[in-house]
Amino acid sequence: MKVKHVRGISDLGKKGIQEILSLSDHFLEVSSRRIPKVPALRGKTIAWLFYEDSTRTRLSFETAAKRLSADTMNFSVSSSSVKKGESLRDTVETVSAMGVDAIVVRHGSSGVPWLLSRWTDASIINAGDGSHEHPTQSLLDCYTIQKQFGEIEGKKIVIAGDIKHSRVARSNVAAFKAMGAEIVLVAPRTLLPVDTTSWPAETSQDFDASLRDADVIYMLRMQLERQKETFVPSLREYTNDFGLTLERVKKLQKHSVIMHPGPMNRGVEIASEVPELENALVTNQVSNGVIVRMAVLYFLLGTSADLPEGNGSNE
Amino acid sequence: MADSESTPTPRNRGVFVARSEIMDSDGVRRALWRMSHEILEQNRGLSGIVLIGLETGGVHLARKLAVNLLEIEGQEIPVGTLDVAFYRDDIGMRPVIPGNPTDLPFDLTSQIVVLVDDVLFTGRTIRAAMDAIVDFGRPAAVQLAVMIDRGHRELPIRPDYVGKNLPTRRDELVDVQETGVWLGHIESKES
Amino acid sequence: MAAMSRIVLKGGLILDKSGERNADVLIGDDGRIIEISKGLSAKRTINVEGQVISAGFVDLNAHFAQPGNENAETFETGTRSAVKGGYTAVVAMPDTEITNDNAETARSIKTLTATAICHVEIAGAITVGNLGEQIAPLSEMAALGVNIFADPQSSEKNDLTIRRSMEYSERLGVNLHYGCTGGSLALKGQMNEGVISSKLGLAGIPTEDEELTVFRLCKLAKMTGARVHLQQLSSACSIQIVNEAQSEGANVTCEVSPHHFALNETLVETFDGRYKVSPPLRTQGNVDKVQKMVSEGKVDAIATGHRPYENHLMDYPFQESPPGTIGFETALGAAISYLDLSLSEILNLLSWKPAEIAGLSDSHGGHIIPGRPANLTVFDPKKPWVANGSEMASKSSSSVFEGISLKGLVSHTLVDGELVVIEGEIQK
Repeated sequence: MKVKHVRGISDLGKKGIQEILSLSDHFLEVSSRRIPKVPALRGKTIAWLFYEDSTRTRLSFETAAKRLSADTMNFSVSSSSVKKGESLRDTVETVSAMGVDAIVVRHGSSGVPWLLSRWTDASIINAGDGSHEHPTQSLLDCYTIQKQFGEIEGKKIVIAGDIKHSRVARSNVAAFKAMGAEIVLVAPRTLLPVDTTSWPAETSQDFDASLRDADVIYMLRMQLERQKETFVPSLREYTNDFGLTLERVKKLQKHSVIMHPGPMNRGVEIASEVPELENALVTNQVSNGVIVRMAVLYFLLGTSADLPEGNGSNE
Repeated sequence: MADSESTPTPRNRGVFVARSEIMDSDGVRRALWRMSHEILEQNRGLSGIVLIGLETGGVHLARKLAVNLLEIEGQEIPVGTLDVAFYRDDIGMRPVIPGNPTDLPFDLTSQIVVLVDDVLFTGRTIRAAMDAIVDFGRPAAVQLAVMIDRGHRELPIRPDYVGKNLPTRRDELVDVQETGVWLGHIESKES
Repeated sequence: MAAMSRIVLKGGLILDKSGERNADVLIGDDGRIIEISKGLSAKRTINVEGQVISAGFVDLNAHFAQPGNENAETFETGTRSAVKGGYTAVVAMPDTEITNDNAETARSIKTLTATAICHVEIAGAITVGNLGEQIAPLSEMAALGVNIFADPQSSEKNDLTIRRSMEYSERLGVNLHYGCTGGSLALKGQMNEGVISSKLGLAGIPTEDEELTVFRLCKLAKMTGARVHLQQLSSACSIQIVNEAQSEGANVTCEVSPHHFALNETLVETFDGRYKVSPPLRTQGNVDKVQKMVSEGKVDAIATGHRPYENHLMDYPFQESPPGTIGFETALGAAISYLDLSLSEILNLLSWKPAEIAGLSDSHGGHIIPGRPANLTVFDPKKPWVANGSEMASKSSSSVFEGISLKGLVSHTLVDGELVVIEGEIQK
């Protein structure tokens, strides 16, 4: 069954995730070379369609594309290549007409990658759509955990923060579950999604209790605006009850690791000193980001992207 | 690893069915022994020699050659492995076959690289390997050792050390193992 | 206009409030029914054997986008779609870009309705600009013949103004229609709040948003005795609240749109803009309950809520796409396909009761008897067809029933005795 897009974790399923992680080992080796570049995607063109500003993610993808010798085109809003008022569909069809093999899209509205795949033959890679999914983040998180522990299966992963509005949380729940981990989502009720009965994860409003046997503590960014929107009374209260303070870190198990998708609000969801601690894998996540994105691009454009039937992919 | 046509059990494609035995395990052993001596003779010793086995079929052969050379000359030489997937000229047309990642923990510059593969067929894999080698450094020379040369070259590539020359039909497949070499074909699995 | 000729509808089954009978209908050149009996003939005879002849449908809730957004729809294009769906009268909501909240505007909009090919009853706004602060000049507008006043988004407005509007309108004998969406619980909501909105990361609109507004409006209606009609209820609980208020003597009626008794929220998982409607599509559990309540006579009318928008907006990201669906041409098919009701009961919901609520019973939705204006529709209740938005007469193709198989299709429609639709084709 051919995989054409990576719009959500459901496009990959467990087999697809495993394939990407396996390929990532190859690109880890490539990235460690003196010349960290292979001609694998020479002649392929990848377009960036970033409607939301995101230098970090875009650079991560750009580095990945360059290391695969692919050509790139930038249609990001910040570079004003996207004409003001031009509809999404018109933009995509224009980009597509220029002959691209893949479009990496980030947009503030859920569902945009699925719309795009209707209007173009190019492969669509989701770099974040609204509060819905951010699959490449989850893939690099899986890779980071796998490299740390050897496997993801059976690990207890606590994801804490503004789950309600987090696309990283949604993709991570799907990916970690597919790989056999146990997941606990921690937040005050106002920041938990309204109905998680169908989610393969537990929820908890007690951060301290959830930390006791956690193998991975995954912190999500707490946006400063949430205070104004009556989700929490104040950020101070939020940090007191749900922030990863040094005191909380001291109570973690010896082997536990701390992760964060970035950008971090130091002093809010995570104490200033925590990202530099030995058991914090934040910088690993960033470097793994390029590697895993190389694997995703190569998987879609450099292989026939064939997976055995019944791996859980859709469309 | 030679081209897909000669890879036994390609994933999702089918099963290798052997039809005739070309060499038995003794034959393989003797061929490797002879090739080891040829490498020594050609290069007048082991100075500056490194062996690189191509994933997946050439890796065990490279290691065997290194063991032989140690026995003959009493000198250990570096052995690395190379996955040429990212340098192939047919990218996008084949399924993902994750072999092991490349492992070249030594500098190639000014060394004599002996590439080792199981079957030499169209020559495209070796072309890809040479492209990869160049990214790692500037060897003094590159030589090629293969267990079987089955003909049908599509590029100007020639081996320096050959276990056996074997004329084949294009649609046939050659499988090289430690236990012997077989000629056969692929039977596609009913999906 | 060409002189009208006499028309006979031959061989059909006439279905109206007094029952059903097989007979031919003769319509005169004055637009009125002349005779109903067997064996009639005229210059123009239309064979309607195997089909049902009914009073034309009446839509209590339609948006025409004119004046202000003619690219989306005009009275002409909208009514073309309406007659294709069997409607002979529609009520046009006042929430156009130029709000219908004063006599001047009402007069000019009335003039625009001359281009319509069926009867358009224009509704005035209850408050100035629909803002809920100041009562609009209801009396001035009523003097021009405006009998219905509507506030399509009443949730934001304060109870005191609503009470005063209800009390003030009493002497004018007009109807007040209220939409029940868009309160603070619905903040930034894009779809129904629940399992699917949580999964998709879209802000949701809980049913409580509508239920609280319905409760408040019913209470105020009972308090003031005003004649109130609640629009597009999507939650079974809302209907329950209305029924309770009705049993306590409140002068309240309510309507449901076809998509709310037929389709559920899982359609939104496609992120297709045509499935964004307000009120949103709810859960299948809710749809089942609403279906049952409509089938049990707990709802007074079916209204389409027809809301067109320019087609390219369907392709916008879901969160940016405007809410709305066209609805005239799928109402009959949806009612027949999804409701456990006799044809009579369906016609009551599509035609007889809405005509009453809109005060149009003199000319529409009444008995089919000699002397009455011939506002009729002929349809085949068994005809299967597949809804296709781009084939519909509206400028907008955004139909929430896109691709769905329905049973029941209008073939002919007469407005004031004139055949505006023949064999499903509009004649003008």
